[in-house]
Amino acid sequence: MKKRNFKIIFALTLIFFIKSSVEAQDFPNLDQSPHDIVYFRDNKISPPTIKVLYGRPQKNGREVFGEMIPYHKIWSVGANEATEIKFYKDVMFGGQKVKAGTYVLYAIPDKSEWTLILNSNLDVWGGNAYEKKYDVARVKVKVSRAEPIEVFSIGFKDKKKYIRMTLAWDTTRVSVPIKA
Amino acid sequence: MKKVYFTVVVVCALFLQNDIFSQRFDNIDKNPTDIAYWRKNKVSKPLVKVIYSRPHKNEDIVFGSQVPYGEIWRTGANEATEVKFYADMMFGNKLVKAGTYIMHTIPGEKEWTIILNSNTDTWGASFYDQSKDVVRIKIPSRKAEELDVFSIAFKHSFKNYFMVLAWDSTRINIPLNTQSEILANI
Repeated sequence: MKKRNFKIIFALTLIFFIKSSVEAQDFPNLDQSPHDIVYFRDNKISPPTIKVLYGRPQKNGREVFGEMIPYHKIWSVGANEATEIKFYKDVMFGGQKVKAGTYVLYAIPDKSEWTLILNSNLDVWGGNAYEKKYDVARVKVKVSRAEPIEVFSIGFKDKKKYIRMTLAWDTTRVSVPIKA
Repeated sequence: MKKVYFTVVVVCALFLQNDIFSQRFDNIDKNPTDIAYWRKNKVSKPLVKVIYSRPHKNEDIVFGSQVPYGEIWRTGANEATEVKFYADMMFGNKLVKAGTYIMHTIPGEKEWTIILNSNTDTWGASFYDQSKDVVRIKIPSRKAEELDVFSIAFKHSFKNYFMVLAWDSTRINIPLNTQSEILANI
């Protein structure tokens, strides 16, 4: 009799363990530098021309460019997974022909001029996975200054003859013209 | 005269400044976007990528209240949840070609309907177009410990792989695997 009880308890324990191993799973918390999506569309209902998926780190009282993000080094233009840009049609990116498709956007920040890079090695983390052999375009753009903003931001503006994509963080603004 | 000229130049410069630098940028979204990748191991190429928004629980009960039963749900917030398959996949009991889809769901008390649809780059579920459905599968709803933020993750249990939709005490475990691995195991 006792043996049987033991068997039942053993079986129940086993079931409990199997069940909890299936059900108990850790899900990641919200990221401190969450991702965001920006689209450029000609108008609200038209299909998109450009889409950017990027991580948004915050300044949190730190000096951003030249300190937290060092000059002259590849930066993945955000946080976490490298920033991804999708062109739904062929474009001129800062004067360079780029085929429709998805690319990783990198930058090499500097005090007065940045290099923006489109690279075809997708689904990578941060800037460490960067490999020059996958470069599709490299464009140099001037740095401008504006009022400080806390969260790294990417935005578009319709300039009629071209689309202006701006990277903005702290007092730094970097813009590149894109013709679609 | 010189002074006037100088003022005009400064004002013009300000306007130009304004045009270039008054652009407003959005704050961080209350329901931020997140990315979940499924790789068989840390260094291998991804097999599935999910881009979704993560709302918080703000009512006592999420499913059946904050998110109603029986209605199409965008399965997150903001832009419709996007699923990319890097290879042909068995998704539930259906074969789905490699490609990018949006994922909607119809939550139910005991069972959910999961929909993959080809109408990508849409907002929410208000643009849902049934004629663009690629597959619909049904998955029983299960219970687990409460979770405040809507989450999508991948898990591995014995020899099976699942995409898990998790919020509040609800879990939806969608079995999936690459078609090639399923064929190799037959």
